[in-house]
Amino acid sequence: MEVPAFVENFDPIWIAIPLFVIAVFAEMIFARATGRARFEARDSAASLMMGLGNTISGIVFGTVLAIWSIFVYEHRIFDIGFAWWAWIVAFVLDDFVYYWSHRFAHTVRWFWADHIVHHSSQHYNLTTALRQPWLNPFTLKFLWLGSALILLGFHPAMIAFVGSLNLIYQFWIHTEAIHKMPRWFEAVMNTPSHHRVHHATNPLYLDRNYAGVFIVWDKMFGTFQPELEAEKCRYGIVKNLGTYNPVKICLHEWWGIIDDMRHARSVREAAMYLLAPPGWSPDGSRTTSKQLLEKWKARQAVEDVPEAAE
Amino acid sequence: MLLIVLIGSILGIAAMVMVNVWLGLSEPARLHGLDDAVARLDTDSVGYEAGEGGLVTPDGLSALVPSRDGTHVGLLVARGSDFVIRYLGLGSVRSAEAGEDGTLTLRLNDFAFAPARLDFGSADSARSWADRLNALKG
Repeated sequence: MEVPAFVENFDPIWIAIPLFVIAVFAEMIFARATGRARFEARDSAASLMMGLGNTISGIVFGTVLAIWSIFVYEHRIFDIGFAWWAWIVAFVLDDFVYYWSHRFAHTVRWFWADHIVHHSSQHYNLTTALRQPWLNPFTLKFLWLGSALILLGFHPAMIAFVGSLNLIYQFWIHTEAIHKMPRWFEAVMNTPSHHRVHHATNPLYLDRNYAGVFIVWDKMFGTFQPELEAEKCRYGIVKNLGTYNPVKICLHEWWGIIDDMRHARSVREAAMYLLAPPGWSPDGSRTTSKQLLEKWKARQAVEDVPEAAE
Repeated sequence: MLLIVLIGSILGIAAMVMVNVWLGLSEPARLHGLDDAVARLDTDSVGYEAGEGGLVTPDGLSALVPSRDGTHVGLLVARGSDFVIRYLGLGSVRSAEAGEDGTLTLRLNDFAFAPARLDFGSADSARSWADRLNALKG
């Protein structure tokens, strides 16, 4: 099948990078002028280094992913091609797959080991959007979730293209500078407000709002939580990092899994350390997101508790 | 081509970080007393029961708050404009070294926690806390 030239020779992310840089400068100036955004130089440096490392990792692992994608496409179920409607369908379905992939990234520790990098800043600004993992292929999600649409019949180049558009969309929502978008937009699209909730560690907000572009997936699958005035977001991870070292940021959860599995007392226990939600432990000495929420709800039982989803 | 992109990216990152510093966007984190420290631990762990004998270092950059049941010590350390919190139990501490200048260098058995320097302002206090923390080596 002939691939349109603009898809074959063009990755929208490379065009977007200069715009990302300009936007970061603009947000810094906004922060200085209004105090409505927070930055920390070492944190920003770490986030940007993670972004650079992610780009390098994409180049290093890109060949493997490309070979796998072509292999899957050779065994596709349908011939969907490059018709105009296929682009729209691919974009929407890719966002649907992103929702589930992202949800698993928060609820299975193996996948969380990779995605935790993106959540590991206690700041929420445009540099946080660029704080990305280096070892994404190690989750092996590309073998199944990442290939689902290609197996269905969408061309790998089309999926790579709409995937890039999805990531570009998600850049601008990593900010405190925008309070709320118009009501209709907040109802359908992922926005800074919805995504602030996703990055917050408040028990009420943990494991909510997994959407990439369309927030409707969270509303459909019961994971939506609006940002509440009474519950100001606190950003980061449940056990925040005490380092700005990019290598440690990249490896710390992988190391934690290996260390836990090494000390496991049975095969089942080792498997649970890998596949159970983050915070699982055989003796209950650690806390999962669900347990934290239950603890928080119990504590607030006598007070006026903000409404949690589900 | 890739080398040019790499060099350009590093220069871009350096420029963004320098502007960040130049604009003075970061305000160092400071604790406003022991109540502030306990409140932060309480919010972080959803119900930290603080015991007696906690303290905030005179510079407001760190705090140590024993739990009521005596099994843990809540540690807060400023990192830039935020605090990092750890609950130190048996086996958490790698070393706690008190200096004659009233500081204590704390290393944890924690891959993601860079060594912390707590300034007690008094060598006696630093030594006393070093003993307590070293008891958590396990």
